[in-house]
Amino acid sequence: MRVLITPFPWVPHYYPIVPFAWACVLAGHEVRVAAMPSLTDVVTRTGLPAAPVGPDPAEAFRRAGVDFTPPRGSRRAERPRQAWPRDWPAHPERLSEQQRDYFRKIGLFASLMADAQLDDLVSLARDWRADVVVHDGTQFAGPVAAEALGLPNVRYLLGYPGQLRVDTSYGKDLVPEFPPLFERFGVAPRTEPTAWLDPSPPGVQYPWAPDARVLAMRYVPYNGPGELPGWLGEPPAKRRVCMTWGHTTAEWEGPALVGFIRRTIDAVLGLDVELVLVLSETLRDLLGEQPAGVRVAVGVPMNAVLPSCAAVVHHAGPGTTMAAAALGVPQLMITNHPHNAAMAARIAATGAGRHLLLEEAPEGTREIGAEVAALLEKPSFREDAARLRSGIASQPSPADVVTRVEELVR
Amino acid sequence: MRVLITTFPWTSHYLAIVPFGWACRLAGHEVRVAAMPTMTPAVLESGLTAVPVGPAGGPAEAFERAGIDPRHKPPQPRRGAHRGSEREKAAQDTLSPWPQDWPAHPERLSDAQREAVGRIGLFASVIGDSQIEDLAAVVRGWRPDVLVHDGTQFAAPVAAALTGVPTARYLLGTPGMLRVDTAYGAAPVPAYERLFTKRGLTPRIEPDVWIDPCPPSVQYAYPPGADVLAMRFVPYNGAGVAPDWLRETPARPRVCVSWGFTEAELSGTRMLTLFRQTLDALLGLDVEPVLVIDPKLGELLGELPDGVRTVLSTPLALVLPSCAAIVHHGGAGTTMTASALGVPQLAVTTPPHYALPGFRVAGTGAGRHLRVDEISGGAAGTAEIRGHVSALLTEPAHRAAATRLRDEIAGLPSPAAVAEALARRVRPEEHRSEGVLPCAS
Repeated sequence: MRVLITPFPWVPHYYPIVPFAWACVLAGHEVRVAAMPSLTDVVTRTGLPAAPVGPDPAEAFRRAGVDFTPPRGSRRAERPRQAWPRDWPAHPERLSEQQRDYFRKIGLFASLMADAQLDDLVSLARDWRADVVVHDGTQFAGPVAAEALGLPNVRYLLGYPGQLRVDTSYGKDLVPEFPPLFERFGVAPRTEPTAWLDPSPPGVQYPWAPDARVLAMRYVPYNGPGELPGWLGEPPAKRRVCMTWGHTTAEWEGPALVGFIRRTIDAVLGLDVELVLVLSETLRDLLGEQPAGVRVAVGVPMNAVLPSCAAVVHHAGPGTTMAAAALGVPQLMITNHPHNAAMAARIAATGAGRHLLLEEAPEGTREIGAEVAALLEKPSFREDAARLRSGIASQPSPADVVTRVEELVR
Repeated sequence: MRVLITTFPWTSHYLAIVPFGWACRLAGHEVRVAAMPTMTPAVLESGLTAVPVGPAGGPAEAFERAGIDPRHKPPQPRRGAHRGSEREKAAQDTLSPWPQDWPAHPERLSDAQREAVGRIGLFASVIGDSQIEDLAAVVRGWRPDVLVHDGTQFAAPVAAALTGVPTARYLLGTPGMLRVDTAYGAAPVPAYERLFTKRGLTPRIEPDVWIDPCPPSVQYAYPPGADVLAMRFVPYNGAGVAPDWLRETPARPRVCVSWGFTEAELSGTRMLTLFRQTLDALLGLDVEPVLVIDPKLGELLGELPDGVRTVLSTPLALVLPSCAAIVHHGGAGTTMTASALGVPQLAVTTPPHYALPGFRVAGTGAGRHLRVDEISGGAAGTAEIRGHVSALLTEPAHRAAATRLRDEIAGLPSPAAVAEALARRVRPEEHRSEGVLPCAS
């Protein structure tokens, strides 16, 4: 079978599908990863064949006449300040209009990016005779190509609970820019995929509608390739605590977060542990020199760091959260993003970690230190993290899911 | 389990184990790839995690430290040349026909031929020696459950002897056991032996278990007692960008030509002539020739005739599914990729190792095999090559045999199944409920 994988051109949207792509190759299927050229170098560092489609995102925005400069440090102000309702992905009726507007804006962005790559993607899928289109929910071009060519589509989730419904901004109606993408090809919008591919663990994901066709998949932690520093080859002398603020969060919100991150570092340094900071280059430079004894790792995949850690402190991006969950590491999640917060709340509800909203996080290093110490000292966190880990391990493997996708194609 | 993969610092030796590495990751195992720093880009390209071992300058630095000149230029065969000198004699002995099925019948090798294999063992020892302490430190620190290595990575068995970690030795797809450590004899080559003895260790030449992606109809019989996990060969020739023209079905049958750079460089001008002959042969057929080569080889070849599509740095596995046949140099990765995809193949090879896969695949009917010295010069040679390619395209027996070989490969245990079997051997306590298989060591 020829499997056309098409992600939104953003690393956190791509890495979660790599294990499935590998499983396809191992099962003897042909794979192409069709994404905007800005992702090509990422794709060719995952062992997979890239098929660039459309221009880069910046060019797509320029063509659409929409100004899009990454909101460095300003993003927090842009986002609705009011608290996000509890379990909002499962209860979108609880969202305010202002909050829904936030998703409408993402829907607009996703639409104009889809628009710029659609012709390329459809001709690739047609010429290459793809059998199935596998895409994430923010890559609107995926369902359009599938519908235009009468192919099944598999919509994959990133590990977040909920369905990442930017196409409907979590409402009943599609975002206005979505249907015209289909009209170009004279077809009606395809709003529900042939099947969902869901790596979100049992107990973390919300219940699906009874008629939803869902392929549950074991989450295999994959945070990219990397060269490991020598100290990662040694067992730590003291219990190791890892801290990361991810890549996207660090790039966009780093300057606004620096003060808080410094305090959190100080908090962990007050404990009898070895602190490992896994940083993007930007954040490393923002934070400046670290005290002796702090390990700083840049460009090292979390999945290679976490097995040696007793706890992890982070922003609850899906790649970090799910890697920690799959590896059974208790986690302190400090969030300022609605999706991350929804996920962190659900993980914390399993007992495998603690969740704090950034706005509500304690200012004092002593309080933050106490949160981390609790993860290390209270056995329930480790036990519940181990339970979450086995729940994930008991899900169907990527290879099993490939077999299910073969059935969709037949 | 924790799986430490370690490889000879040569890309083709690494590519062969990547699918297994992925399968281990998908099964939830931790995987790290320890190789010389010159290999780090290839490891990162495969999406896995690299742990550099040995000198920063890679093999070149290892040779420099050892005071050995690695310029391993095999002597050129010279038609009708004076064969008087000992050196010329040795050259002819290594290049002229090697005995049939020599990996299964090493007793048929001449002394010069065995010496030629032994020379590879010497180089592998120098490269291995420079990494042993680093590799052993990685094993001691990370404590892998198994060390998965190829037979030319001599640092692995020594590091295993130093640390007690079980070893799984993988093959590259070439028939035979790639016994450069013993030069296909009963005892280790002296340079290999010294790696152990100078560290106060007893030389060890057998791994705990073998991983073999060579299909049974191509592979030779194993020696008695060898514990071998047969594995399906999954083509992986690196990552890359799929060229746009690959989207469309070719108007005429597409014939791929692929030459490994190593082989091209080693074979020198004879290869360049042969290459021209091959392209001329294809241009005389109603086919679309596609040349898949390394950019370095592209430079070596210079300008190519019109009508030949040249593809640089593109994984062969992307191009081959659209091809009706392939002509190649007999590298294990190329031969097995064509075999796994069911594409009939003509292998034009220089002995010793390159000749083996092509020769054995030809034995299944899935292709044809020629030694370089069997091809005439000039237009006559072009016509010979054209005849062979034409036969691959028109004789149904070749296609049928290639399909059979493809199916045979597809029917072998998947990399996932091999990962599981390996876990049972090295971590039997975790598989008790499913029945215990004793550790092979």
